[in-house]
Amino acid sequence: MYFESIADLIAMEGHGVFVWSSYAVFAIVIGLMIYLPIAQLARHKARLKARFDALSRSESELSDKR
Amino acid sequence: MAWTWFHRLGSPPWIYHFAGRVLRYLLPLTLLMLCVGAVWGLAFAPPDFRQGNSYRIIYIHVPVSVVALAGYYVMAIAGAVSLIWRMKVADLIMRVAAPIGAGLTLLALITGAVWGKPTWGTWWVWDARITSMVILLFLYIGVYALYEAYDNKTLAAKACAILSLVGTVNIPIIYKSVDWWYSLHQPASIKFTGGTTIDPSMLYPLLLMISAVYALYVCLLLLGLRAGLIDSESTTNWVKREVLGGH
Repeated sequence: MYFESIADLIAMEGHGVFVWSSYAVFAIVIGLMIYLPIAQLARHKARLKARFDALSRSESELSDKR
Repeated sequence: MAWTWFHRLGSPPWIYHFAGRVLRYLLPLTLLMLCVGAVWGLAFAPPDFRQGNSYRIIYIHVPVSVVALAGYYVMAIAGAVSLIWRMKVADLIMRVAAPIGAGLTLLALITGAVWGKPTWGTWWVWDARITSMVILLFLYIGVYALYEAYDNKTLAAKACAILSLVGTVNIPIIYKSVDWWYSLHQPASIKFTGGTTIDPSMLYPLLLMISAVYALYVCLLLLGLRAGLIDSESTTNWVKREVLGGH
């Protein structure tokens, strides 16, 4: 490691606030960009599953009545 | 026979399952590369003799900027394919590429501003490079907003494809802006032609991070494609099998 201690790594000779905030923003935005389509896919699947289940329920009720 | 791959690319179920298989390996590998590259750049690369440690922002600023620009070509080419061959998957790639590109451009602008403060003494200057990057952000947001604005989605896809193709004019301007206009922004450190002006001890983590962000772009595109395909193909049998099968 270039720095002699963790405190030096965090301080980065006065530039730590700029460097670490950039990496934090990067991590948050990238994390969100990965999470959102995964959550969106799960949401679509849950919605469609509910719709397909309701359809098959109503179909079986119809066939029971007949 | 030679065109089989092209027809496969137009098949939503094939794309959906292929994307799933690729993501299973590529996403963990990408996250590993990002972690290794970030730790290497933050803790092990030497400081810059003029900028000190603030230059370490380069390991995220340059990769996201490079991929934000390259991503525009992906969106524009997908737009052209959608316009010429009316391929639904190409239309979806164009729509998915817009918010990803906007996110990466926004990251490039934010990290650039934070890097600018200790280096230039200011967060922002309206120079050619930064202004053309802001235009790139508006183009990405424009394509996304334009698609949402239309009720007729066929017409929306056409309008977005035309906007993204027209916007490609901006890309060479961004690339060459630091050479054509003198500004605070430094010229490119990595050049395909001519000498690279960066020491190997700083260059290798940078190349790793650029590769990682390219891989991330592919992952984000595939993730967005899978979510979009399930939604747009919701009335088909393969989606029904996929949803009820639980895979």
